[in-house]
Amino acid sequence: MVKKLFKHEFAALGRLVLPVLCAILGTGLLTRFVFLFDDGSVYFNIVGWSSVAMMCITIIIGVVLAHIFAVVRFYRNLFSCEGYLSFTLPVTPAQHLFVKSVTAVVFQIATVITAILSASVALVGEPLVEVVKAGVYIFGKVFEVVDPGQFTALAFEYLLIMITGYFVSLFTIYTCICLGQLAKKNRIVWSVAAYFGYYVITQIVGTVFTVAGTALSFVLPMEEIAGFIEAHPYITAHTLGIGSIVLNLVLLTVYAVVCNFIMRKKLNLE
Amino acid sequence: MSVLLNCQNLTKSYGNTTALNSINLTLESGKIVGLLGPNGSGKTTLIKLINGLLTPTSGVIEVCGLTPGPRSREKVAYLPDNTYLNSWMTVEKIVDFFVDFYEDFRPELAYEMLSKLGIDKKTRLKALSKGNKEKVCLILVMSRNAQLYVLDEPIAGVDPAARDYVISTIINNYNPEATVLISTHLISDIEQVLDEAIFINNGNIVLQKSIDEIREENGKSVDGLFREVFKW
Amino acid sequence: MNWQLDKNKPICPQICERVSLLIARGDYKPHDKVPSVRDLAVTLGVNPNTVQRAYESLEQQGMIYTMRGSGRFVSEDVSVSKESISSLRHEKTQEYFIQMKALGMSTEDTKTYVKEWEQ
Repeated sequence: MVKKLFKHEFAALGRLVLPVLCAILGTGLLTRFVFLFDDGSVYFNIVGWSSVAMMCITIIIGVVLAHIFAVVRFYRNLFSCEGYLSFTLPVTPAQHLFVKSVTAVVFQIATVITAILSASVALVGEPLVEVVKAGVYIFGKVFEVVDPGQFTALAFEYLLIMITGYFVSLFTIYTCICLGQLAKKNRIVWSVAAYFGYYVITQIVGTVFTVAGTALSFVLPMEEIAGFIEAHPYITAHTLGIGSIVLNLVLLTVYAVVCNFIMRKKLNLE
Repeated sequence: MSVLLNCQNLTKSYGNTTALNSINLTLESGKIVGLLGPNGSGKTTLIKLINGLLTPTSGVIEVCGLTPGPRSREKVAYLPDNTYLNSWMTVEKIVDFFVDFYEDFRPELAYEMLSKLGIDKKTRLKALSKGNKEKVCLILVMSRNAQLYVLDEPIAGVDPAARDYVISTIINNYNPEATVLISTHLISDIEQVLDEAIFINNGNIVLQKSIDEIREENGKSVDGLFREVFKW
Repeated sequence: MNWQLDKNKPICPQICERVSLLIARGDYKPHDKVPSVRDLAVTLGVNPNTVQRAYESLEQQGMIYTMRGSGRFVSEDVSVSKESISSLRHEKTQEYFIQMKALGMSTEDTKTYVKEWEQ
């Protein structure tokens, strides 16, 4: 069943996101093409750099659109009239949540990769060679200070933080949509209110942590802590890294449980 | 003869309103049953409970011997009263969708009915007229070889000629192992097709009898009795 | 087949009546095949179970018989059908006289009226 859900989810989201990916690649190709005519003139500079700007804007809009399409798809497929079909399939709400979120993340990653590809295409030729050379140089310097093995591990952790982080941001919106469904009328308005509530809470929590942290800094042996961090940089980094991943996973679990509960027990389609 | 729907003291309330008030109901296989009642009587609530779109406040509901969930949905074919079709798929794609998710779906039957109605499989769903959209939804449901068919207002928004088509499709599809539950307020069009009528009002089941019994005992059609019972 | 079913009366007996009428009139001759349950149900727009019960009743009364695998056929002896049509004719006439009485005509008046009736 899950395989079939994936098949249809990819088709449904793909038809929206694929044109965006094409646009991103397209502007990259266009930029490269335009720069073939580089003759150093003022006229060229305007055209050339405009196409670069267009590429950058397309990439930014593309990444945002991929996110928006995923969220709108979630809402439409489950809570508009299509919900009557989705929720009467022989499928559990948990399966819906799983498939929709994974598909959204895959397309988001695809968008980022396409953006990188597009930029590379735009730079193909001498500029790309320069970029690669610069990259090699920077990494060389970095590896003088940082152990390559540790660096790779940390890079991997960072990637996981990004991915789990994206899941969390998706599920935040999913949860707000689901919370909105608990209302009798104006469900979308309530979903937005829920998101606003979430924002307020994060600000409060953030402030509390900042104040607590500052207060603690007067109480804790800061120099010893600083010393520890200097002596054991990798352990600190890994703790922060893995800690963030765990935090994301915990948040994700909470959100998933809430969404699943609402979809199973409190569903009331209009 | 198996029991396809069993409700015992089934109650559903929303805050202070009770939509279904401790109802007891059994549906056996091989019947076409009408669920008849005014708006707000609890028909839609009962139907949503059968499909697992709502959970009971108290009491028991069993569909084909199972609690409403993914497994019971494999055996239930549901036609909601509004179309659930998305806009971007073609007729062909939605048929494939049903083939994928429902083992008992018969695509040959669907295509046969679609061609009889002159609906081309490459048409986009959003290009269909309202009437055709409803016919497609009906065809998708009737092409299932389900145990319980739940049709919510199948003829309400449809022209009289199409109504005849809907009714013949229901009769043609009759299967002694299955039951069709039709919820409607267009009673006079449909009462001949029914085995039994269930009257529901204010969340209570007022009556559950065969059509001929009703006509015999009351000297009037089910539609006539309905008007009497539910007079304003 | 133009079957006008009365909405206020049970369907099953009406189907029985109609089939016996068709047999009594000779529209269906002995050993003719009667429509299958499904076909008749679709034609009339009625529930197949109702048709099934009607056929079972007719069979019980001896007007039709079943041949396993082939369907149902009109019995050789059509006297049962003719008898049931007789009683139907009586019923209808009685109804007519009652209706005419409601319009102010006595039985005698009605008989005269009918005699002098020219279509």
